[in-house]
Order: sequence, then structure tokens, then C-alpha cells
Amino acid sequence: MGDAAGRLILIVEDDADTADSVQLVLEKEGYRAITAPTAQEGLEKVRGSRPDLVLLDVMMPAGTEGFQFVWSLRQDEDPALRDTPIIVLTAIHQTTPLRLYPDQSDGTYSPNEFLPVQGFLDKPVAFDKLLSQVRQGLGGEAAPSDRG
Amino acid sequence: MAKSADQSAAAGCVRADQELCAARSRGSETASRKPGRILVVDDERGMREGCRRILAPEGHQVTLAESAEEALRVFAPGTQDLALIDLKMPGMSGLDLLARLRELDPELVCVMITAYATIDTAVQATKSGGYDYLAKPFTPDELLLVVEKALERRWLILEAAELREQAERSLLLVSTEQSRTRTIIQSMADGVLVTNREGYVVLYNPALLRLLAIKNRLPSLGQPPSPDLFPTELVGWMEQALAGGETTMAAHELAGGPTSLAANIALVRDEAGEPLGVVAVLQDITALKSLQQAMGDFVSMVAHELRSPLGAIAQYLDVLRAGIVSDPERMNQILSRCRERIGALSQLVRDLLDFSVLHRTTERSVAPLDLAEVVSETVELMAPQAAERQVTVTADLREDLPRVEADRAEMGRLFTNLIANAIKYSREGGAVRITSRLTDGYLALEVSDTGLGIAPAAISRLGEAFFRVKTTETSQITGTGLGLSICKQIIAAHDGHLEIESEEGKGSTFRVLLPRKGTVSHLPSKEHDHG
Repeated sequence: MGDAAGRLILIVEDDADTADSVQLVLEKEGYRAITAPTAQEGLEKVRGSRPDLVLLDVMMPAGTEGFQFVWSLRQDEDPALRDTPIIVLTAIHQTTPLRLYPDQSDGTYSPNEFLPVQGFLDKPVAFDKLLSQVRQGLGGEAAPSDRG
Repeated sequence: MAKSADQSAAAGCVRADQELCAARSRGSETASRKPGRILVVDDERGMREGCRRILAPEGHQVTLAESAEEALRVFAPGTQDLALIDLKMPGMSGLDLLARLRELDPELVCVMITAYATIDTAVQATKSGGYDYLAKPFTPDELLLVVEKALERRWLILEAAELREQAERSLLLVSTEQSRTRTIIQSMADGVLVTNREGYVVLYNPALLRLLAIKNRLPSLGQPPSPDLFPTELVGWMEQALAGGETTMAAHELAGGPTSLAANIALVRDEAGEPLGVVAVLQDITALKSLQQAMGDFVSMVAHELRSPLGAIAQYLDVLRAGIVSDPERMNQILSRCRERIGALSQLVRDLLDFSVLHRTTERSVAPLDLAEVVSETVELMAPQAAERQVTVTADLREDLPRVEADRAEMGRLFTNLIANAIKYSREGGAVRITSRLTDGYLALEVSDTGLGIAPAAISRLGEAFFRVKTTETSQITGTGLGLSICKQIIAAHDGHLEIESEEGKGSTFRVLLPRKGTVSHLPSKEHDHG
């Protein structure tokens, strides 16, 4: 809990109510949280506010908007921004052939096949899972990913 | 001479009369015999009448002629079954008459009556086509016996002719049937390909060539299906059907190409159960496939539209349950948001029902309609919503607004959706105006607002099912993304158009163009000035 103090989390989510409830949960836990309803505004806020972690809804109106956000951020000129941990909020990994994260049991993967993020959460979000993922993303144990 | 002949005949007839009763009593066993039409030609009146007296009671229809000439006058082909002809008559002889009658009616049976039954005359008579001869004087029994035999002959001839005709008729039927079947196969919309038990092409129709896009070279009959012309899959299935002996119809889908084809393959067997060949029927299922695709897309869009608000509500309820919020005002605000989201879900369900009804509706109650009335009613109905957002709504329509042919309920729904949108996407204190204009053949009704406006990229997507403009400003506005889609459907069903003009930050105008009465089929040109 003490770790949370002062850490800034950006919630990129097009559903204002969903973003609001996540923000309430994070703030209750001692985090600071800001929101952005679109990927574009999200990128602006990442650059302006330099959050410690991003919670990202990948199924935004334009469909691939969330994915674009990830690739844009991972290619940012600023190395500190480039490595901002991202946790994806979605149920998409159940319905898409695109695997968002390498299987824990299988270390071999092609970097392009997986979204370079630190974790994913089903929607609607279970708050205990949300908080444990956020803690992990903020520098507990590192989740396997390709950050080459 | 004629007189003495008459007398002798009369004598014969007396003898005949005497035996008539005996003949009749025996006749009972021949009573079931079919009576005939008999022509009696004799120059002796007694002979003629005697014959009639013997034959008529048997049911025969007897015609008498006193000479060959008279016989030819009364005779017509097909009217007589049997002719009894006296060999020796004044004028034309019996033999000449025989030849003439046989010429006129080859199926007529002729029996010669002769006073001098010699081998000579008998031979002569039969040579000329006579069937039998009867020697004068004869007993009624002798006459009846000869007549019976001759008629039997006649019936046989007729039966044979009938059979011959039947055979010819059924041959004709078979050939008509063949050409009819060919015509049906040729004009079928489905493609037909038939191979024989060797797997060689024996039949195909034009639809097959069209569906498989075979243009430059026709498939050769009596050859295996050319791999250049036919999809290997199709040929494979037909071979499999032949080899596997599967009689059941198998349905396959041919992959590739712009058209989706379904192939029904069936093995055809003969009466003994031996495979005769394989019939493939190809159907164009492109429309069906795209319909299935559209349905699948729609269902997944609906699922997505349901998931978002349900997730939001679930998370808010979890927040309250976990005691994360303690401020009563904040708790209340969360509860109202949940209530609003549930309201929006209910609206989504209503819109989905509207949507499906509109899709199914083929009959509209179209009548000349005063849209000014519909619009002012709608404005009144929307007053509470407008007041809540402090938006003024005014209808400013021409006095001479022409009536349009339209469904009242659907027009109500159309303007409710448009005005509700205008209010929702207005800023507080904004203004919504409904105005009208007449253009060439069309009545234009415009719903304008001074609201948020729409980005150009989004305008083209408006009206797509579930598309909603999403910006920071619109994030609190609830909607299903079906309203405009429903509007577009209603307008299209009335042969109209929807035009949208918008400037971000300044407002939008939704213009409904409906054909004026009597000009329904008239479409405006692209350059038509609506501005």
C-alpha cells in the first residue's frame, strides 16, 4: 500500500463509467489516476503526465486504436516513455487469434506475434486482480515480454 | 329376270324366316357379341330385306343399297364395319364395288354373296380383298355365322390399328418428354453436370458454364471433365460418389472465386441398383453467404454493445459493494449512472426491435401525410428532454407544406430520433430548429442544432449500425448507435435521402428529402442543388 503513494496511473478507456470505477479503486488504494477516452488523448497524456503505468482498453471504437497506442508508445523516441508498463483491459484474448501475451510455459515466440504489454485483465475487471497486476507492473516481479 | 330373281330370293327368305326363331334362341349365346354396322348391297329387294330381318334383331345397324352406285353414294370411310356385296348386279359389278370400297376404307371387311358358289368366284372374291363369301340361298344361321366371323375380323383389324396408334402416340410422348426435360435443364438457374459410369461428361447446361465462368471453350461430351474447365474439387467429389457408391445427396461448398457455390452431388442408379453416373447440381449461394456474414457481424456488434454497459454497471456495483466510496452524494451519482446505463440498454433493446421490424416490414400504411403535424407533435413530446438540457426546440415550417406519401408511425419515429439526437448533442442553452424547403420534386425537412458538430471522417460513418461519435464531449451521452441507422432505413423505405452537414464546434444539420406526392419515382441528379 505504501508503494502506491504518489504513483500515477493513466486509464485509457472509452467508457467513462468503466474508467471512473477503475479510477475510484486505484485512488482508494493510494494511487493517483487520470483518464483518457481515446488512444490519441491517451498518448498526449502519456507524454504530458508521464504516468508510471497505463491501463489500456484495446477494444475502443476504431477497433485497432488500442493496438496502435501500444505500438506508438513502444516506438517513442523517449526511452523512459517507451518502457512504460501497459496492462491491457479486455476480454479480447478469448476471441481473437492474436495472442496478447506469450504462454508462460512456452518461452519461444516471435516478438511481432505478441503485443508487448505487461499483462491483461478481463472486463469487467475484478478489483483484486486489477490491483495485483498493477503492483506487478509497477516493478514487482517482471512479467515476461519482448521489450527488445 | 329381275323379277324371277326376286322371287327366288323371296323363297330363300321364307326359308330364312322359318329358321329365324331357332337362330334367335341360339343367338342368346352370342348376345354379348358386339353389334356391327353392316352395309347390304344387293339388287334383289327380297335379299336386302331378308338380310335386314335377320341381322337387325341381333343389334346390328343395317344399311341397304340396291346397287353398287347407291352403295358408293351412302358409304363413307369409317361408317361401316362390314359390307355384304352381291357379286352379280346390273351396272357396276360386286367385284368392282369391292375394290372401290377397299380403296376408300382399307379396314372395311367385305363378304361376297354369290348365287353360283364356285371355286372360281370364291377365289376371285378373296383375291380382290373379299374376306369371305356366302352362297345363295343361305339359311339365317349361315348368314349370322359368316357375319359374326367377318365382324370378328373387323374387330381384330380395329384393335390392331388402335394398338398401332397407341404405340405411335407413346413414341411421340416419349420424344416430347425428352425435349421437355432438355428444355427444363437448359433453362435452370442451377448448374447441372452429369457424368456417366466411366466418369465422362454426358450432359451440362448453360448455367453450369456461367457459374464456373467457362467462356472460351465448351466441355467435350464423352470425355472426362477437363481439369482446365472444372474445379478439381468438383471432379473429385463426383469421382468419390461414383467410387463410394453413396446414393445420398452430398452438399459441398466450392471455395474460391467471387461467387460462392454449393455443389450437390448425387449418384444415380438404374433399376437394378447399378450406378449409372453422377449428377452434380451447382447453386450460387453468394447472396446467402453475405447475408450470413452480415448476420454474424450484426450479432457480434450487438454482443459488443451489450458488454460495454453491462461491464460498466457491474464494476460500479462492485465499487459500491466493496465500500470504496463513502460519500453519499458520490454513491448517489454512481447509482444514477447505473440507472442511466440500464435505461440505455432498454433503449438498445427497443431499437433492436424497431430495427428488426423495419427489416421485416414490407407493408407500410402509406397515406398522404401532413408532416407539419407530425413534427409539432414530436417537438411537444420532446419538450421535457429539451428542458432538462435547457435546449430550445422550435419548428418553423412553411405554411404551404405539401403532403407526402408516408407512414405516420415511421415518420414519427424518424423525427423523434433526429430531434432527440439534436438535443443530446447540443450544449446547454443550445437551439434546435426544424425548417422546411421545397426542392425539385422533393420536400426537404431540416433538423439543425448549434451543438458539438461532427468531424468529417465521422459523418460518412453515421447511420452505420452501432456507430457513435466518440469524443471527450460525447463520452457522457448515452445512445445505442442504432437511431440514425433506423432513420436511414425509414427514409430509404420512403424513396427519400438523408443529407448531413456539420461543422465541428458549430453544429449539424440533418436534412430529410422525401419525394413529393406524385413524383415518387423522380430521383434528383447528383448535381441537384439542395443548398
